[in-house]
Amino acid sequence: MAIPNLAAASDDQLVAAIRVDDRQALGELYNRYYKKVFHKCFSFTRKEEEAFDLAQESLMKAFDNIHSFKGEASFSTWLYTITHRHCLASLKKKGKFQFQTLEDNFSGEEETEMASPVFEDDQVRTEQEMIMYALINALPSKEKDLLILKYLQGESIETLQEQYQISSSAVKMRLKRSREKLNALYALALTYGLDQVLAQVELFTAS
Amino acid sequence: MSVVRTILFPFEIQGRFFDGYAWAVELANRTHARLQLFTTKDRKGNDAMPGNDLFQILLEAQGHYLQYYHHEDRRSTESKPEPVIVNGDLKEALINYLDDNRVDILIVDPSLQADRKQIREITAHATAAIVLPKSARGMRGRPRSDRFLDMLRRAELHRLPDNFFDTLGQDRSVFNYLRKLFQGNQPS
Repeated sequence: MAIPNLAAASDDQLVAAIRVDDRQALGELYNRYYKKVFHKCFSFTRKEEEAFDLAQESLMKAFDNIHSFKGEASFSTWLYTITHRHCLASLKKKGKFQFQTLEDNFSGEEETEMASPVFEDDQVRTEQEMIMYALINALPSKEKDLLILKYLQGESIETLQEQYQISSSAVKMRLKRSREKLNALYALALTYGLDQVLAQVELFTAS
Repeated sequence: MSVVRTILFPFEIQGRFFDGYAWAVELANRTHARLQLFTTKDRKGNDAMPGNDLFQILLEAQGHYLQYYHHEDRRSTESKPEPVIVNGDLKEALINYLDDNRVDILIVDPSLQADRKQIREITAHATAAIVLPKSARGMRGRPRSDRFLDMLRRAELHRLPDNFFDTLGQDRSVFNYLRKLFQGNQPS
């Protein structure tokens, strides 16, 4: 059944309607986000035409794959994560900056998923690192300690396994979840600003 | 080696060009062609329409395409429209562009501020042209699969290459559309 008041519908309601081929819902959801996606891309490129290309590709990618959106995070987080990754991948391809994963210094077996963009410009790099560290510090202490031990202090999986008295696969799983959470927060910080994201994280971790 | 066709869609940013834009994207997708979006800005830098606004309007137009034309079984990333933005008067710049660049099919949208004579003059500079019908009346209520072919049926076609309909004919929706047409099910 079509949604009677599209403007009042939540993103989740719109996604559910799109899944049963409600095109009006698709139009509404797209219109809610395309400008934000463009601005996010522009924050990476600082060039309008390149930002347009990236925004167009990110939006197409997201709306082509909307049926694979599982609702584990909000739609906006999912969309911004796609956009963020697409922008990073595109800039990397063009050689505008290199990725330096926090795992590059280690020979860990786990899949490398957390990437902090390291721009050629030192000032920008410092800013990106500052955001990443601020977000790590805002995480609940269990996750924060684990990430710091692994990625900043370079402890091995074996050491962490002994320290936490859990199996190596459990260590890897915890690291994976923490990385995913950090990636999502990082994408949000670039979109909404670090202060706003830190304030939200504080609310969640305090409750 | 097959050569990728280039389709050119000129538009005026102030015009109501979304239907024509969506149709052009769909044509590019169906014919695996490259789509260029042609517009102009004035020589003074166009303060009235900063670049951000232009690109955001193009993104909005892409949303219109997704809503009214896009098929779920076809990836919208197949044909990514490329903006071509030049300085000056649109008609003059368009004719110069057509003279200097390889464009296989020009699509003339009714939202362009041009009379019949000017449209004839523009299409004379194109290798081939499709002049879209003025009214997209009733199109939004039509099934997505029929909307594209309805527009094509009502458009003026100029010097289209012989294999144009062969390419389109590979799409089963053409067969379905014609079947409905002959069964008298389609509203005009």
